Amino acid sequence: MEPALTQPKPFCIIKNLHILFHGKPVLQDINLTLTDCGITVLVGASGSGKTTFLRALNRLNEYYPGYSASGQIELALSGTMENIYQTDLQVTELRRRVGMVFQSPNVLPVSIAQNINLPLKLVTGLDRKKREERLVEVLQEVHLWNEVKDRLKTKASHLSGGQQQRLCLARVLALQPKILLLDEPTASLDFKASGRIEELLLELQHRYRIIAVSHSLRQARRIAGQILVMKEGRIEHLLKKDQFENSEMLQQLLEEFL
Amino acid sequence: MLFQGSAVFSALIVLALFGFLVYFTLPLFSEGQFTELFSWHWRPFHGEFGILPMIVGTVLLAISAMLIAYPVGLGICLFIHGLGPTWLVRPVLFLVYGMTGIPTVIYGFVAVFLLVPLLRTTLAHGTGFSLLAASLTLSILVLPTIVLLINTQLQQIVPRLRLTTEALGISRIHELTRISLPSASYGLLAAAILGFGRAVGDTLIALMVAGNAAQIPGTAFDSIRTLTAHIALVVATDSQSTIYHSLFAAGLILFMTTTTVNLLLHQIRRRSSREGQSA
Repeated sequence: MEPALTQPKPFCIIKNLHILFHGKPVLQDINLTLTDCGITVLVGASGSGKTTFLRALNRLNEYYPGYSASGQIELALSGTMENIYQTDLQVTELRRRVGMVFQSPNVLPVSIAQNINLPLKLVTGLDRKKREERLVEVLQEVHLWNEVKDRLKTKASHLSGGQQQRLCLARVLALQPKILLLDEPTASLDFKASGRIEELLLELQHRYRIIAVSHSLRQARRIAGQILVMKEGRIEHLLKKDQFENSEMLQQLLEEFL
Repeated sequence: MLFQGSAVFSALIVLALFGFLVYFTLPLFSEGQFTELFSWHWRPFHGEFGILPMIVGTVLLAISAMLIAYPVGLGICLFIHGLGPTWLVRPVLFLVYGMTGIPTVIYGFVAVFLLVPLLRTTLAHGTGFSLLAASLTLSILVLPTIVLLINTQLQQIVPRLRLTTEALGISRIHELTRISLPSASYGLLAAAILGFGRAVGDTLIALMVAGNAAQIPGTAFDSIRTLTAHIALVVATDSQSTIYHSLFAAGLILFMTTTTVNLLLHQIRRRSSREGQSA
């Protein structure tokens, strides 16, 4: 997506979202409109509902027992905004279009190539030739191709942590999502590997809408186009770039909320 | 010290058992009764002591019982791991675990009074004591072994994968059949081998339900006799004549089968733990 020169278009509209687990509220009264202006980064203390918020967008919260929710979420999945709870949208199709990368790399117990190939085959049913093309495409997109092109058949678990995380990202990109959800994607990586992922995300933000949870404010400032501050299950602030570039103001807000 | 002692003690017992069987089987080789032993006829009063029908009966029964039990066991495991409703998982597991504690004789008893008459009346072929009756009953006996082995391995694999595959939009059935089961190949193999071993080694069900005719069955509705039932029958009725020697051969074959099963399992476990470390 091009950087917006005119009025930025919304890609995520949330109205009165409440999410409870076993009757206990985890997200409360979320009303939010996100527009295209770079990576959206969620920050907040642990337990503030960041992960639950992220998982609301691909309906992954439903996987956990005791889940109940009310409210409405609309996402730009094709040309128009779509209500993700509407009945004719299959949840598997939603999750293909809203891809998710987890905190620690979760490669499948198969080869590097199969990690991309197998989900692609099972979810999209693309033929072999197309799948092979896309495999090369996405591995190049995450800058992993040169490192793994000679050992695509080896087990993915033999890669380093940073390589595994880039493979997980490639696996999601192969499904051609519209929105990427990243749950602390660098939390389990060392400094250098984190840096590579950050650079990658800054490249990818021009092609995908990205919402990421971050455990570090510094990281948020480096990669974010806008920052969402969460506290006790509520969105406290939506900060635009000019607001959080001002370090004093950010500091003040964070002392107040974290 | 105590553990070492008991380990040595049990190894000695196994070795003694093997030596005992070989010692008593040897005369068959030296006295040229070997060919008699591996003949197709068991007619002790005519001096024919062939145990081939029993070997065939054993193999047929074990394979047919596994052909019934294995798919069912696999199906139960898939049901437990996501194809069935979650509220049924615990009752099903409870039932399967409970089955392991039921004495074999109960299965045999129930089969004699329910399954055999049912087969007799519906098939109108023979007495109902048959290969089919025995394999159906035996399949129930080996089912828990199969379910527990596969289930144990899936429990290590599925929870780690489920969130990932859910998030990728992969359906449960695809996840289980294309990712989880292929990664559980050791459990699948171990279940097949151990299940087969149990089916070969079981005595009581074959003795009670299979009819015990020492013959090659023409159909699944014909009676068979297994090696285990053969030993039990002959020991119970005769312990004097030369017939007796053939039992040791039968015993030796069973002993070597179960030993092979155990060695295979050991091999599989070693391979699987090695792979587990490198993964």
